[in-house]
Amino acid sequence: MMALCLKQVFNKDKTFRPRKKFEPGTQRFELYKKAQASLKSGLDLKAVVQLPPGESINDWIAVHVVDFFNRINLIYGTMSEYCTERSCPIMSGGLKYEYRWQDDSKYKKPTKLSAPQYMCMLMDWIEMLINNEDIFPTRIGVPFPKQFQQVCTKILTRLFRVFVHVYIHHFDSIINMGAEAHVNTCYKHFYYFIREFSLVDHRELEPLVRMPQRWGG
Amino acid sequence: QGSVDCPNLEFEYADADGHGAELAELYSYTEEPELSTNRRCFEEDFHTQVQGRRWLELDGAQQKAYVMHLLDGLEVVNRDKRLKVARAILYLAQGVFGDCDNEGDVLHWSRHNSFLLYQLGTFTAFLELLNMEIDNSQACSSALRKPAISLADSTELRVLLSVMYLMVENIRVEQEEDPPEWKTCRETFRMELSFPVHTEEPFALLLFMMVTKFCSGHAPHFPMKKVLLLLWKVLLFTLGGFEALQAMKVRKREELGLPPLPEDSIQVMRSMRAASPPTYSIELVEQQQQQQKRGHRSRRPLVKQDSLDIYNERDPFKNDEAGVDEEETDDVDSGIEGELDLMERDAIIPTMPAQRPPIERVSFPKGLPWAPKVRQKDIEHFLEASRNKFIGFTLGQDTETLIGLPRPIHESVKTLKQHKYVSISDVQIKNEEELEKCPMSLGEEEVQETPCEILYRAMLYNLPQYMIALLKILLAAAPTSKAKTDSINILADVLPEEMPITVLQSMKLGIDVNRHKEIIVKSISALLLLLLKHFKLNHIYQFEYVSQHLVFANCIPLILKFFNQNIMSYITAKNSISVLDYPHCTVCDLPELTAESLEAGDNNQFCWRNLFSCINLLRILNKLTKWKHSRTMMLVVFKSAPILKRALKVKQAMMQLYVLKLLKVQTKYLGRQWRKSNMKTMSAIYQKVRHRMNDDWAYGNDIDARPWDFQAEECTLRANIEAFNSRRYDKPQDSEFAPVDNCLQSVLGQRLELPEDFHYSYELWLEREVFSQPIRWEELLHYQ
Repeated sequence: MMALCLKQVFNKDKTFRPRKKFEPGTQRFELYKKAQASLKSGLDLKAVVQLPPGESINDWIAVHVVDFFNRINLIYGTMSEYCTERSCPIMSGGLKYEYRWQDDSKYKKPTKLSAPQYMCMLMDWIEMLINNEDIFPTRIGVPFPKQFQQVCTKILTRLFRVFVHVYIHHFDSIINMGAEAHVNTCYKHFYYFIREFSLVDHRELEPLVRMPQRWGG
Repeated sequence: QGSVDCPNLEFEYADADGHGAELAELYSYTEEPELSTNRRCFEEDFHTQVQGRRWLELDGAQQKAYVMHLLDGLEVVNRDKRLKVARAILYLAQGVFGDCDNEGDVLHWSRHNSFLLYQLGTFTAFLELLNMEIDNSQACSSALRKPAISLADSTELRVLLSVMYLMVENIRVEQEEDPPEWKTCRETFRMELSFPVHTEEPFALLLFMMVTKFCSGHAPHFPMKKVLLLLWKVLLFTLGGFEALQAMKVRKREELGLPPLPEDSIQVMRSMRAASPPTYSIELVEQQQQQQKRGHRSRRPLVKQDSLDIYNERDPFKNDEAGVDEEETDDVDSGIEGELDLMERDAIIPTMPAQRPPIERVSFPKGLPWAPKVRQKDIEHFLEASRNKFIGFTLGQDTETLIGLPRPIHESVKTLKQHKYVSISDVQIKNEEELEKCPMSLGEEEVQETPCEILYRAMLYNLPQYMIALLKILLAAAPTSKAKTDSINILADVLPEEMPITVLQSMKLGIDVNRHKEIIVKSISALLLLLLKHFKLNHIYQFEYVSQHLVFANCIPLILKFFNQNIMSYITAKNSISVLDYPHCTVCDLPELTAESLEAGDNNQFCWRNLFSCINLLRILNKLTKWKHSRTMMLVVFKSAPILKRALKVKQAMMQLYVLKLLKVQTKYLGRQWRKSNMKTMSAIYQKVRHRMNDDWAYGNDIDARPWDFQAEECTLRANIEAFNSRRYDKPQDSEFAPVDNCLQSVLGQRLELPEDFHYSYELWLEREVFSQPIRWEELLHYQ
């Protein structure tokens, strides 16, 4: 065990220095090893998110927003049985970050909801926006509204929180299912996308700030 | 009785159950005493002809001579005497069990004698007798007058039908050691049943007619179970079973110049493994409560099941709606077999272009049992959408022009084309379109006279009635139906004349009645599936005709209602008393029956016929709804998803596959919430059901499917079907296409009806209107 840990530390790929929390032998270290092992696979997602020539940017963003919504919805679904009122009484991203829900109807003030409730509200809210023809027009020729990118920013920001919660609180369940490579790849894609078009404020990205460093990103 | 941990069921789906089991199901337990009656009738007569010897000791010629003697005996006028002779013949067909030591012998002699009987013309003789019995109005009216019909009212019919069934079933099943003359026999019999010579119609039609007559109430004494069993086996024999169907399909594709099938579906399904079903905490609690009750034959009905009427009203699952994300317990064993490969299909890149020559067949991804398929329509839609987006106008059904479209689209089209699948139906539909457009120039269609074609032509006129009747009986036999006073009584041929007195007798009758209903469900489900499959192969519009009538007769809610029960307990039902089964009961002494032994039932893991029926019904439901938006919406509207999900509990791969197919087609209408809470089911669908490229089943979201558009789709289909039927089967009615008679002789020779006064007035008329009128030749010149 010791030899393995030292190897990690003196790894020539090291852009990452293990912090105190990641003591070899702790659970977090094991999780981190798993995360690293699966991230370095696949295609060049950074190139793939760039706007292709001739494509309209709103179209490009719209397609991705819907796609990410669908996939993140399913990711959450795979471990939704472990995310209960009891296990996650508030929607959090570790000890430092807490998310409260606010919308234009029932929750005019930011309210503390349990994680499952927050997810539910979030998915319903995004679904409503996506199904709204005025915001996400489906007929050819109908233009996107002026505030389209702002709406997407809000959607993507909130979707990011799903990742935060899943990674920090439920990653062990993901690993038990053997789905870590998939979640990681989806997250990587998502991250590159929001960075490419600057769709999420960098302060929001703080809870998972360490992750991109592993990809050399 | 349904336990949480259903073990993998060792079930092999086939055309029918084992030979012995099929013969056993012919008889109900209440009929068992008649076996000795048959024996007595035979032995009384046999001893007058052949003293001191047994049937088994006779040689071929002697056996033949005796059978001829019996057949002569059928010609007598006296009905009772005829019945005795028929019983003697039945005893022969049943295997002269009085002289046998073990079950194997009985089955052997049953088979031997069946061939012998057939060779001497017994089937034809019994067919005549059957016709006589059917037309026996006296029997009908006496049955109609009776307050309670029982076994006794169908005695003659049951004997006749049993002989015929034994002959069909014994001859149908091939065995390796069959001598060549038996093989010839089989072929002759098959031809005789499929291609009628004397009567205009195939034998199956007579049985269909019996079914409708029974359902109309004119012949409540008809023993339906036997009629249906015989009908099923006749269809199986004349048309062919599943393997024959597969071979025919392969051949037909070759004939039409279509590429071979990507896989052998029968093989693939045999090697599929069942997935662990999701369990629900609600049912776990119920199970615990159930296990606490003693000796309870749990046919655990669902809450509010009795009031479930699909048509009318309040949704019994309303309670479930709020808690649709039922919590799944940790009891589930470690996930679905195989990896959760959800994200593997990288939806980011539209397609991964394979650098391969276009003609090569792409092999499907490892781990998935089915190659993906694409329809021509799908390619057209994809191109139209892309053209709309990138260019702004469309080109109809062109799938070649790719100018102006970006490279990824080119690559997508290439991949789609590599997986293109053209079905036989597509070719037939196209053919039909052309024949409709050019009725004169393309000439008469060459229709192959196969048993299937002959059957369809014969059934065509009354087909709707046949379907309605079959469904009526199916409904009455379904486990979830209550006995209604106005509908048909399918128990007429299982109820004894005297109702049971003791508890033991009641229990025995109860088991018998349930078994009776199960066998009826089995035969109807099997024969409907056979018809649908054969008609589809023969011509897609024949299939559509039958399907439409089934759908109009409410087959879809009927099947859903059938599944709206505790499927696990239906599959594991033990409605049989093996000591009373034929041929066991004929060679072994009957032990004392006790309540406990009846309760215990047999040692089987599951009930073969019930699992068989379930799979058949699921297959039928799939066939009715596939590619039909209007009917798929019916599945959604009837809230079939929870019902179907419960059926997933049965750990049998084939059954699960057909359930998953029905769920897959609905997922995009069930909403993201449902998908999120049913990830295990979504994964199972991904792993087991064939993928259709560009099918948005997992992500699509059409909550507002419009119910009022359904009519249009069904009407168009109906028009196409009627056009097909009238083109192929009606005499030409249209006066426009009827030839004109222009032969002078025949025109002059025609009789014309002239008014009475014409005789007197015509000369005057001629004088006035013709001879006195001057001909103005110059007017002819003016009108150019």
